[in-house]
Amino acid sequence: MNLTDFIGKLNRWQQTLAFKVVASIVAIALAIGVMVTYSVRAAADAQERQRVTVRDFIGDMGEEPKVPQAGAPAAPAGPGAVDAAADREARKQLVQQADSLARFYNRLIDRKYSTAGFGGVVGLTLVPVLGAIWLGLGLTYLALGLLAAVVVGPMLLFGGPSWRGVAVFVGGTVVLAASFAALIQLLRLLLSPATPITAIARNVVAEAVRLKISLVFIVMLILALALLPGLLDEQTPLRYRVQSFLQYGASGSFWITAVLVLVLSAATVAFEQRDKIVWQTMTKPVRPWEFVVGKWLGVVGVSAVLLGVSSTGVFFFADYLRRTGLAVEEVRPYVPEDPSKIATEDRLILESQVLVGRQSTRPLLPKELTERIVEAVRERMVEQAKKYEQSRDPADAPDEAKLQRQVEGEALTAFLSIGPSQSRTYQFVGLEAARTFDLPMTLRYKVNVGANNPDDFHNVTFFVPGSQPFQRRVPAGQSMTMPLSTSAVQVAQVDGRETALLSLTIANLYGPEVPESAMKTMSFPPDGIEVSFVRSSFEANYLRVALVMLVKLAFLSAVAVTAATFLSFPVACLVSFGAFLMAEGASAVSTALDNFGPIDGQTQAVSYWKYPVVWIARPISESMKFYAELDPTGKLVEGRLLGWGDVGFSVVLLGLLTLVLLVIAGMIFRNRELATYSGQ
Amino acid sequence: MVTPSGSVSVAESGDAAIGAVGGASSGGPGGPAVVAVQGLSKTFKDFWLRTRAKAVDNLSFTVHKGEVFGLLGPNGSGKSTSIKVILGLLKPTSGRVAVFGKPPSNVAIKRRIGYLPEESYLYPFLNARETLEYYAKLFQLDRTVRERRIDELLDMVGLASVQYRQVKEYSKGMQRRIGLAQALINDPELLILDEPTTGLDPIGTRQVKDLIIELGRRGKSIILSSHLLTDVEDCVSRMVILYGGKKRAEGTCESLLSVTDRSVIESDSLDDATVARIDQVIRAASGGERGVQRVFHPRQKLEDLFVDIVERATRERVETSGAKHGGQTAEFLRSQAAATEGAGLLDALTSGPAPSAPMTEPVKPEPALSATSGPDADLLGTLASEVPALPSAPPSALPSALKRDATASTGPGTPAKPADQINRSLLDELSGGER
Repeated sequence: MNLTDFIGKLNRWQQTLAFKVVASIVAIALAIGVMVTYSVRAAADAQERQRVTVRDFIGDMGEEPKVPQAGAPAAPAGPGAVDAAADREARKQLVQQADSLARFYNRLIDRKYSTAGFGGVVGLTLVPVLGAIWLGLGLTYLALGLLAAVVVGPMLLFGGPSWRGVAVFVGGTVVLAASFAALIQLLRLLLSPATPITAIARNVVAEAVRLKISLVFIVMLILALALLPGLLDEQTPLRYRVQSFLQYGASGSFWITAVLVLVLSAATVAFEQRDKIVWQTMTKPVRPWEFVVGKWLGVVGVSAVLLGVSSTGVFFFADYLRRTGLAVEEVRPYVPEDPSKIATEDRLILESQVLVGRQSTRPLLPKELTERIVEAVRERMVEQAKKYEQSRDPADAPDEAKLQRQVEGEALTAFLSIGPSQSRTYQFVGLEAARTFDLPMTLRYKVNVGANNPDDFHNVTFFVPGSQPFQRRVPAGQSMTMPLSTSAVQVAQVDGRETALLSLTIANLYGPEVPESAMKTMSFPPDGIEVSFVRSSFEANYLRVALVMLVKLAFLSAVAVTAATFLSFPVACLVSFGAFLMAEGASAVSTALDNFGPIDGQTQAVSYWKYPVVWIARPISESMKFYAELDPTGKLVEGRLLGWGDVGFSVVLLGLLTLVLLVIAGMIFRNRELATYSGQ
Repeated sequence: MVTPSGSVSVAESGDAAIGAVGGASSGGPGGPAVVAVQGLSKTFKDFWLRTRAKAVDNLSFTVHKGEVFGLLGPNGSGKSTSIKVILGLLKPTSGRVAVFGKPPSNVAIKRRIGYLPEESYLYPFLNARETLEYYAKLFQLDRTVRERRIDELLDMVGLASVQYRQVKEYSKGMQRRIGLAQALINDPELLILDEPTTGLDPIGTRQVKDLIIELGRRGKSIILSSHLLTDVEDCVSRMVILYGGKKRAEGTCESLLSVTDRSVIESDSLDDATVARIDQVIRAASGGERGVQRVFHPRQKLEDLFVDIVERATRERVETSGAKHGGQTAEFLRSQAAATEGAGLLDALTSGPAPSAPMTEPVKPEPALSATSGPDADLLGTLASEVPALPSAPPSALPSALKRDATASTGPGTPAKPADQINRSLLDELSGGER
């Protein structure tokens, strides 16, 4: 028996039911064994770990002052006299804050020794392994794995740091490629029912993996993902490394997959018409809308597989970085150099601000300010109307939306500015979840002072409920963060509703030595002050991010399929890419259009050619703004929450647009004469 | 000219045509209309709506159930355009088209249609099996039926051994074969074949023709479009000939093709003396007006020689990486034999062993000899009476042409000629009784 025959025999053996059952049992047993081993080791480590207490933060506060008995003479007032009630209140607040911090650090420590996360990793690995076995690829993958181990193992064991990167690249490529192949097989299995839609969709899947035009993107995606870890600079703080990896990994995967989706969707419809292959499909009992939906479904299936592979790869490697990467000032993961510290700042920020799902809230505009805005808009509209009546110049025509934006901007700027020796209180509402999760909040702020010279520093004084006022010396124009305890959140009535809010007073104070001429106003940009709190885990957030990315890709596929029903491939690609870039950049375009008015602010000259540009670009950018503002990868990188509400919103709105596009495509296709003049 | 030959050509003029047995397949304006085209015109326009070409001009024809209908014409005569309108791939500029009584855009009727386009437009990245699987799924055939039909069709078209090779690696002929297979996957009632023999070798061409004939006998309706007239002539029962998008002629094979002023008698090889005697008899019977015009040995068709060579190679098991020519007609296509009237008729007509495998050449329809009145009858009677009696030959010794002639299905349009009407003794006498 020669090698080919032997391989053929092995291939047939791995398709048998007996092999699949035995292999599944072995795989599950191995997974259980790994989990048990890890759990035992984690439990042994856990016995050594120390939990944090309140005393670790506040030490010995001494004896609590006694409350004077009724009728007892009052204690003499004077320097050194202690206000017992106030002191007790202050102690109580300190204990509350310390308790909150202690709970947070203990969670951090628990995560380090957690078996649940590792169990999730093992489980998620087991699923594709079982899938590969039942798809008849068990031995194939085992052979691939052994081959990879033979190649990668020596690199890791005997090669230096330079070979480690190559080993990760090779190993990563094999794992990603194997996962992709297994998921594609699964997809083909799901599309195996004998209906026109599933048959056409399955054909698209075959086209995607066999035609060079799409295979190039798939290979590019897998190689890029595998290469990415090696490009991270180990000298960079761990949080920035993780963020970079998330940025390039998730965002890069989405863009490569989006390009593939657009090209494949256009190609599969346009080429089939050009090459007349569609004749033999449409002379079968296939309705035009079934053809269109089948094509769309096939592309969405392929993109779901690619997104699944890339997202899983990015997620696993980010988690791997978190567990094995060294943060700044750490000697081992989660172990600071300074033994008196529980965790380093780099690690804290990573765990509480990056690899989480945070929700942000900005200061609430006071009711009286909102009413003043409305009044101001009304007044300006009247003024503008009078001016237009006299001049009859189109440039003077009253534009309520524009005036509204102007007035709001001016009011917000004033609200966020604090003059010298002044203070302002900002209320942040909707913090119920912060109290629920009871994890430290984060105040992010950016102070603008004068020209924001890089050497300028400014004193900012904060008054946080439940704690002593404190001052920070911050560089002008740079974003800063500061942890806040949830004990500062209070329940109060706002507009007749009970809500959890944080009242933060910020003061722009100068010392007596500073002359008045040197005192400056400080201000926050519109998005320059916000309080964020943890609302969701990183895993759940990533899942939602992946779902929104998939919905976006499905929409893009519908755009390209619709274009290709009546346009040639290059033109359909052009239109589709144009729509894609317009949608992705809608927010930026909308902002830019505000400054792209036909009337020059200084010379008042009118550029009439700009009118059609604005008339076309404005409605498109406004209508697609919601698409851009979803920004799933941006939120993931910044640790911001993408909630189920956002997911639902994207599904409904983008789903509706997708449906409309597919209906249009079906109608166009139904009315097309697929067999044009002979020779064309 | 008299030469030892088996054929004698006798000139005739102004005589009534000898009734000819129709084509090998059944057909004729008897059954319900499967396709009805009325006043069809199709004009192609460019982007600016200027007329570029009038491909079909006021065309009308009907295809009946069980008929093998030929759509003939030179290149650019509107054959393919007409077919595409019938299939809904084009919309008519004017006129009406009905398929199974419904407009061509109706999706339900497409379950009953099989189509082989003029070129094989297949997915290059699929292999043969996957291609048939895909098209079978479009008909929502369940898995068991699908697998069985795919196996049978691959065997039939000779691609079973290369079924896992991608279509882009196939030769043109192999692609045509898989194209034919996909046209038959749903066991269609109406089969539309546009240039089906293009790219096929002679054996493949023979198989396609035999398949068409057999399907026609089983009651399928077939529209056959081609400009290869010799291929069409063997198969169709009724045809329309197009030129410039217009219909130029329409009718059955016999009505269009019969040359009524000549008769051909085929016999075993004759010596000069026998030919001379025949010539004398004919001249005597016609008062010197007619005689033997030509005596020659019929040539074996190149197709037959080709088939012989390939059959021999197949028996010797010579290796080939191309298509094999094993295929019997797929079982599911033959499985309706008992239900159709054609089969019963065949059984009634057949007296000898069943016809051999599809490799055999279908016989051209020959005019049956009948004892009708008129000058021809007298002539034949004279020939019969003047030639010495010969021992009557057993039925198996009949010339194969006549034997097949007797067994050919005549279909609903043309009445069958029972075997016992054939004047066997006359030919035995002419041939001198040698076997």
